[in-house]
Amino acid sequence: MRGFDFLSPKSLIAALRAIDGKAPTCKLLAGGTNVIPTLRDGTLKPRFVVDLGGIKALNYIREKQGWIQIGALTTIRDLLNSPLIKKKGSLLWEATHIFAGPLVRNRATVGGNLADASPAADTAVPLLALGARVKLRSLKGQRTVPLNRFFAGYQRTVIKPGEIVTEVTFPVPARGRKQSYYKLGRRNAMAISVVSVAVLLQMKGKICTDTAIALGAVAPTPLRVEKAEGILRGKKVDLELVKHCAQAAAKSVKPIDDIRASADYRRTLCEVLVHRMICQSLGLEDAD
Amino acid sequence: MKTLSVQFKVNGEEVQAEMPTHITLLQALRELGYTEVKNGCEKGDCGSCTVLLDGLPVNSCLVLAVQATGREVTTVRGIGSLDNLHPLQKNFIEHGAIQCGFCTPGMLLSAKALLDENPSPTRKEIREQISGNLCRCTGYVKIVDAIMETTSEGSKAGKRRPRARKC
Repeated sequence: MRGFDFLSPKSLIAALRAIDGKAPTCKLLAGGTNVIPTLRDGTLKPRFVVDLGGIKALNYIREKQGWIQIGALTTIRDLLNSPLIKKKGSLLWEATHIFAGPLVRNRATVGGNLADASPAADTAVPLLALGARVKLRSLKGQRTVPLNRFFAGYQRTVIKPGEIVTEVTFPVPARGRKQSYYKLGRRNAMAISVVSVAVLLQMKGKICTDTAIALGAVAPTPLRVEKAEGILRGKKVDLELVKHCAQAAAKSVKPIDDIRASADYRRTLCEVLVHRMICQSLGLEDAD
Repeated sequence: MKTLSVQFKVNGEEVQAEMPTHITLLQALRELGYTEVKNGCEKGDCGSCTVLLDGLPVNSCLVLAVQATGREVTTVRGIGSLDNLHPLQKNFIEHGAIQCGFCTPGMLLSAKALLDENPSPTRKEIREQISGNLCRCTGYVKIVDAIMETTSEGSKAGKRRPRARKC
């Protein structure tokens, strides 16, 4: 690890000023659980490291006008311990349970997890299904990006030089939404996802009025499978339709072979898990 | 090499040193003589470098030393000593929860943090809590037994003969 200047601004505005003009040589540190190993192994050689951990104002979880707002520096532990997230963002809450292990959850932040843009980012999958948006601030102003347009490629995002992720926000799911989340890993703790699935369905009787299906670790970025979602929308949901939807989901992913699983296995598991999650959320008999 | 003056407390003692910005809290602690903090994987997978940072267990290899400024670090030496063992340490010995001992400092600190928050956790909660601390010797059963014994429920039950349970 080459030496770097270490800056620890105590406010957002101080942080924005600190990174102004330094973009290519500057690395932001939130919880540090992903960044510090890459600093150590030399993958990253920044000249400046800006630690955002001191910006207490970016650590909050609140409900405002039908939206849940989460400060970017909120730790995974804070989400796990939040009655509000448990009640109104339970898809996200479930994902915090299987996020790495307790030691990492005490440091890792939701903003860091998203900005890191791993295809297997554990908070990204439920947040995509919840229709989350990411707030970005720079010295010039603020903009909001829907999470499904936030990831630009493998470990890449639309964050511009000089911008900092300040908040992630999602609408409180309507009452009676059906939802299910599952992360398949090689083991329970400290696992990087092999496939993860979040499903959110709005039903009117047996008719599905709205769908969100998000998948992780099966493409260069976590993603929504819109074609598959469209198959359920506006239809009476039965096992046949669920099967079509799951097949469409598996067709729209681009998994890779890696040390955790093969691409074929991942694609098959997409179909199986999307099928299972929809059935589970609706209480349908899963024939498989 | 870029350096910064860093000041924090370790087990109640003030530490002040000029440190390179890029070294981790783990490296700093070991260089300062706190070698009870073990260096395992250095990427947050194994938990052997666990310390309490303001009471919360963290991987000290995932914290830069400069980030500890103004904060309180507790290593296993801060929770008990040879002549005054912490109840967790006593029970680890009694239950044979230590074999090679490399994971033990981290294991004890993760367990202590859990009991500080929740004095009567279930076996499942204990297993979840220590899921970031790898042990390659014991198979965890005896570790969970020892922590169980230290819970308010376990101490109420008094001295029981340690017996293997399904973990």
